[in-house]
Amino acid sequence: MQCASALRTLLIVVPIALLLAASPVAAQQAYVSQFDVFTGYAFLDSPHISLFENGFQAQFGYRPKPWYSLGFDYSRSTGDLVLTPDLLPATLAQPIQGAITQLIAAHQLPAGYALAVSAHSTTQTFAIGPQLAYRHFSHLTLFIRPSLGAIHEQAVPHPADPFATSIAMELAPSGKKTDWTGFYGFGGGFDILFSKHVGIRTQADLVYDHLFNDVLKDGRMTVRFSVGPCFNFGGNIVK
Amino acid sequence: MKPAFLFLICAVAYAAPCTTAAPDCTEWVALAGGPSRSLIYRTYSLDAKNEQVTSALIVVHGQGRDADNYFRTSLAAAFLAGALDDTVVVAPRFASNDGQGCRDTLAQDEVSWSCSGDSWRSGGVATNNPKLTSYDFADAILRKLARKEIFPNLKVIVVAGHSAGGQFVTRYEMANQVHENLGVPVAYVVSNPSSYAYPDPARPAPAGTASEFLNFSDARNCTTYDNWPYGLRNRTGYAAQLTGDQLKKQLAARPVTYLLGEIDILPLGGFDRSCPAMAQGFTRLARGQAFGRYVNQRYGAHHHTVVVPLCGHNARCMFTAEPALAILFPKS
Repeated sequence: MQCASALRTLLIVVPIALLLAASPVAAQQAYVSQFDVFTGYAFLDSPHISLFENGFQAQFGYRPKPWYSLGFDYSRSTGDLVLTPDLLPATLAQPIQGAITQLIAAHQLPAGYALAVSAHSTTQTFAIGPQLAYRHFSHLTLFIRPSLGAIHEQAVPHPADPFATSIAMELAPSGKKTDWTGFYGFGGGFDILFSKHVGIRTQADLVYDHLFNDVLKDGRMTVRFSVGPCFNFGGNIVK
Repeated sequence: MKPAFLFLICAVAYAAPCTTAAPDCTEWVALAGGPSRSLIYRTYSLDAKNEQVTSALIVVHGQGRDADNYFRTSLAAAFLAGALDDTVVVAPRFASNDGQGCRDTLAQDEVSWSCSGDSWRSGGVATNNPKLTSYDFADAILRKLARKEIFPNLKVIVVAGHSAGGQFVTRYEMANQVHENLGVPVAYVVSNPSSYAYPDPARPAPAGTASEFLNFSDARNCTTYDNWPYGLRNRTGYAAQLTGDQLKKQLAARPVTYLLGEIDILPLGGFDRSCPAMAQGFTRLARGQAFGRYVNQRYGAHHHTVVVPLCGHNARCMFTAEPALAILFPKS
């Protein structure tokens, strides 16, 4: 289910790229600069935990050859999620459910009480690696890449009732929870080139990570999507 | 002239409590005649005569050894109880630098308490002074508090600890050799420890069993379940100075309150998952309730168990909760 949702974004990006690739301006690019930078709007969509975050992404690329480059990218985004017991491992979910049952029986919680702890999340991604480009069209560059990097997330719970507050204090005693982990996946996108030096980039990655593996039972698939201007500079590397 | 003289008299008679977790509110306690020493945070000097103090609260920190944080929590509790003026609050720091998991910065001659095995939690021997155990440090604090020339009106001392500090207190309660000799009543508050020292091989029986406690059924696979600090076998350090019978007698005879968090049910925050600990129950709450019932049923103790509503494994929540205040600050 999460894959289907995550792939939805790629299914939007790829057809647009193919459509553009079929445009009549089909002529090999004669000018490819040594470097490029990009910054733009970005979102991270992690449907398994119902987390959608808005933010920005920035990239720097170095092109040894017209068909491949090496780059680094960074993104920062924020959003809200709701933590429910079904996301927790059994070692946490079972005692919590047991406590809820007891407290309902003791009339300390209302009948039908369902634990839900909302949290505000701030996520940063750091990725580095190669990228392969296809430059058959004069005003369009297609590219694909493996996505390898590290992800850092900080979640600040905002529980709404005393029981949820108690559970949140157990899960995040300091009032927030942070974690680092690696991610991997693949991605791609396209640049629409307005001139030798300026274009607009649209790209997406589908990556997997398992942040907070002490309190979340499953890893998650995340779509990183971004769009914005890209700038090419440096000497022409086309021989 | 007369008002100024009266003001001076009042100022001398009333000593304000020291209420910041800063060096101004600390002092060193010399151990074994010195120069070995350990640090305490305290609201009043333990060496200056103080007639206004009628009770003392010693609060032992958790595995993070954050005595300053526990001092702040204790100050908050004392404030809520209206006890700041007449209670000396003490938060000892069991500093440890064993080069592995514990890496506290130690001052000159500061004792480094053991951090693993028979650790500071259970009266273990210091790593840089084989003649000292962590319970000797507690003995020294109690002896200083009990001096009539310093605290002539002291009526009660409460020794409390949370989490790893709760482990410290439950074992210190059964093992210490100063309780009857101080001339001041001592009460113990054991809050949310991960394990207890069971006085015999019985452990909580699995659910659905006719008896609540049975000899541990998995002893063949969990061979250390009854070793110190989970049981009384193979004791080392301070607790080895007494016989098993003495420990059982002291365990039952001394006043204890098990202060347990209603929501301390998750295996987080340093929860002990070892098989000797799991033999005592699956959560800290279950372990505490079972141990309290067991010593009362089997050994005729009169220990109290108090469950603090909606508190988990959190010292500040526990010690500042209304049900805890009367236990930590008893009115003599």
